[in-house]
Amino acid sequence: MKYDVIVVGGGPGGSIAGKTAAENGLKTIIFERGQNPGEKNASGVGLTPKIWRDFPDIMKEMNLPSQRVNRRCTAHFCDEKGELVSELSWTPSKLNTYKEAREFMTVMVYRHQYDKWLSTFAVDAGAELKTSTLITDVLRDSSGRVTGVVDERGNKYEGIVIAADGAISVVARKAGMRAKFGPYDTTLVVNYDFEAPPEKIDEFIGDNALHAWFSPLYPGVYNFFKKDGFHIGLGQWFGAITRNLRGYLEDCIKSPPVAKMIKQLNAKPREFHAHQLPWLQYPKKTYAHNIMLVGDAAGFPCPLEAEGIWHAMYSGRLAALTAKEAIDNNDVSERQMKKYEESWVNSPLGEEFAAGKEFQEFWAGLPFNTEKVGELGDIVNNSLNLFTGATSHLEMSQLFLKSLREKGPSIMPLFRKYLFPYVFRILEEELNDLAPFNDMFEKMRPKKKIRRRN
Amino acid sequence: MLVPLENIIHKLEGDQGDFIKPIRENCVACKRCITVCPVNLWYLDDGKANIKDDYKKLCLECGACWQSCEYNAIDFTYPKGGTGVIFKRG
Repeated sequence: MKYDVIVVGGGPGGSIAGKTAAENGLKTIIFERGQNPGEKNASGVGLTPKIWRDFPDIMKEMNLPSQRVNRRCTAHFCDEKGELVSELSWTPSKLNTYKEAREFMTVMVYRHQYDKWLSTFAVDAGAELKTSTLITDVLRDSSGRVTGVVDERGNKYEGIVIAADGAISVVARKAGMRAKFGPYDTTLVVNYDFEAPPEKIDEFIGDNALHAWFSPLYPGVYNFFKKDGFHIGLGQWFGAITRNLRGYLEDCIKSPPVAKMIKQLNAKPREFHAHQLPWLQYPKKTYAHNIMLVGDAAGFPCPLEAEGIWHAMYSGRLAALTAKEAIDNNDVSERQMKKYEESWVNSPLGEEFAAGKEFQEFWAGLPFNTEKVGELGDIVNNSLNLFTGATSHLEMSQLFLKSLREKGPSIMPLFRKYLFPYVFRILEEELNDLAPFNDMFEKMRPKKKIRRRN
Repeated sequence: MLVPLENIIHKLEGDQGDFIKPIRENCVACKRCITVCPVNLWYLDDGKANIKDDYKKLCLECGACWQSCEYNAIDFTYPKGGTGVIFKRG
């Protein structure tokens, strides 16, 4: 069967690719291995404001039963026994340049609702959606170039291939674009879904719906609240896994502050998930003759901000637009497909990877490093200790400086190795703008030493 | 384990096919698959990694075993379309 565009995978990347292609008059088919889009997909699922910025016509219509708008993020730092030490909490900043980003941080939903809903936009635009169908191979011409795909029943489909089939992309493997991701290219994520009465979540959580837990007991844990339940999960790069991740996650769930929260919400485990989530320093090649990789298949996600869905949708649209150009030019060569990569590199998606290496190394080296994360929690707590009535402010300041001096030799090399390269890479020339502050501090410094009682 | 995993892992009806196959001759018994599998489906069988006979009941199709194997000793694909795990609240 002949199509202009064959999309493999009915997740957010596949649906937007299919919608865009169909809207541009291309004969389009989307393959989904589940009975419905979204039923094979799991993640923390926080939809970021960028999706509203870049897909306003779609998102203004979203009204799903599981959705919960999140206006606050809270990080909990716990000690080696899992006991709560300190917390940081923040809301959307007024610095943000568009309305949605000033109004909320994420909207939490379940994938079986979100992905299925998104797929209706592709179908309404005229794309054909073929569910319960696994694509098992690519189709090649006599010179070995990819011309389409083959399904599990041996049916052949010819057309430009957009692979939106996730981290383990069968299409990318069969097309010879990669054997598999490297040990520090992709993470394994394990996740429990808990059910809880919506009124309990409204009462105790409300719109403070994005929580993160850090402790030497477990790598960083995310905890996202939906309407009638929540996800609690964690991920780790394959290369860094030394212990079964479910064991870590259950230690977190049983730790005193999390167990207390679960009890308070009257929450019960409802489902267990595991999936791979790529987190690369920089994506590898995302195109070849007649084929483009989008979303997780391309390795785009940044799991830290619960993000992968925007990346998939954004790249899906760019791939479909490249396909349109290829059809118009009657050219599906590698050179033509390269325009897809050029378009995402020069878009907000490419900007995400401006400091991809430094960002990834920072998170792997500190917050997700169970041996070091306790010291971060101590620093946060010790700095906040300045604002308690334990003793004089002078003594508390001295105690804090003393602790910094003591911790310095162990924590500073970590900051130098992991934090500073990220900050410098992100800011680069902008750092010069901070130079005037040096003069300002110098002028602010009291000329006379303040007299202190012994 | 918080609750028995079979209570909170749901499967679609239908024959899933054989989608994970250990390749015994390549296995060096490094036990990575045993460490990473979130639902503990792997074990050592006469010095080689093997997957439980009833793995299709709990397998989450995450591909962690395949991804972590550095010796090409695990063959992984997906179950037949419309079968296998279903995440009702993924």
